[in-house]
Amino acid sequence: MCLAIPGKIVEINGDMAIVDYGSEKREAKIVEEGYGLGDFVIVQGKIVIEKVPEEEVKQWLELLK
Amino acid sequence: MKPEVFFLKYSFPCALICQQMGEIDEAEVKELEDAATTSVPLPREKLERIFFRAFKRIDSIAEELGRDRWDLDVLEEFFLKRHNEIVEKGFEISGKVPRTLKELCKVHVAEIVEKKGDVLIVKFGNKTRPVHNKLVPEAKVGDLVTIHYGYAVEIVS
Repeated sequence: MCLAIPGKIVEINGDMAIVDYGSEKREAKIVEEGYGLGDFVIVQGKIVIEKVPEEEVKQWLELLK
Repeated sequence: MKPEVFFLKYSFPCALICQQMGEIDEAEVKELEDAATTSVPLPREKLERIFFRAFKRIDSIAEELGRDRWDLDVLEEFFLKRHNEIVEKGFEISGKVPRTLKELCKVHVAEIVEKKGDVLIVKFGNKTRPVHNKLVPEAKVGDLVTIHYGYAVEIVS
């Protein structure tokens, strides 16, 4: 399923990323180029749909805690 | 299209926000997705309960147009014409809404530039986004679609 908060890419194997949400890690597919280790991303339905600038991450977490 | 189906196709991508806020659980999100992808109308009471924020806005449009909240014209006016402006103002959540969240929450019209299995790469403005094709399995490269979060919702071309 999906979490509506940014997670951090901590591992990439081919086109599969491991996304770390702090409390848990989930696998998601990278469909577009331009994502790398350390990027904060939004996943929906097991695909990475958007990158979140690091300066926005705190705002997201405060809003949707 | 039945108004319940139209409503759900546009609203279910943002159910993950409701899930994140603890208002619905993962099983309910799955149920919403299944109903949206199979065009099965869910009970109005259920949709009104889950998406109560949307209905606050829909009700004011319905009143303005002198129609019912489930009138298809009212729902179209909400999702296709007023929704983005409401999002820009910060919707019903208190606190500062991050730019990226606002953009995901808006309904955009985008062009399909690539199809990778059941994922569509769509282009709008100067950016691209991968979206699921579950709601529009027949969509092909070159088609214009509306998108909401990580889903293409309707073909508009």
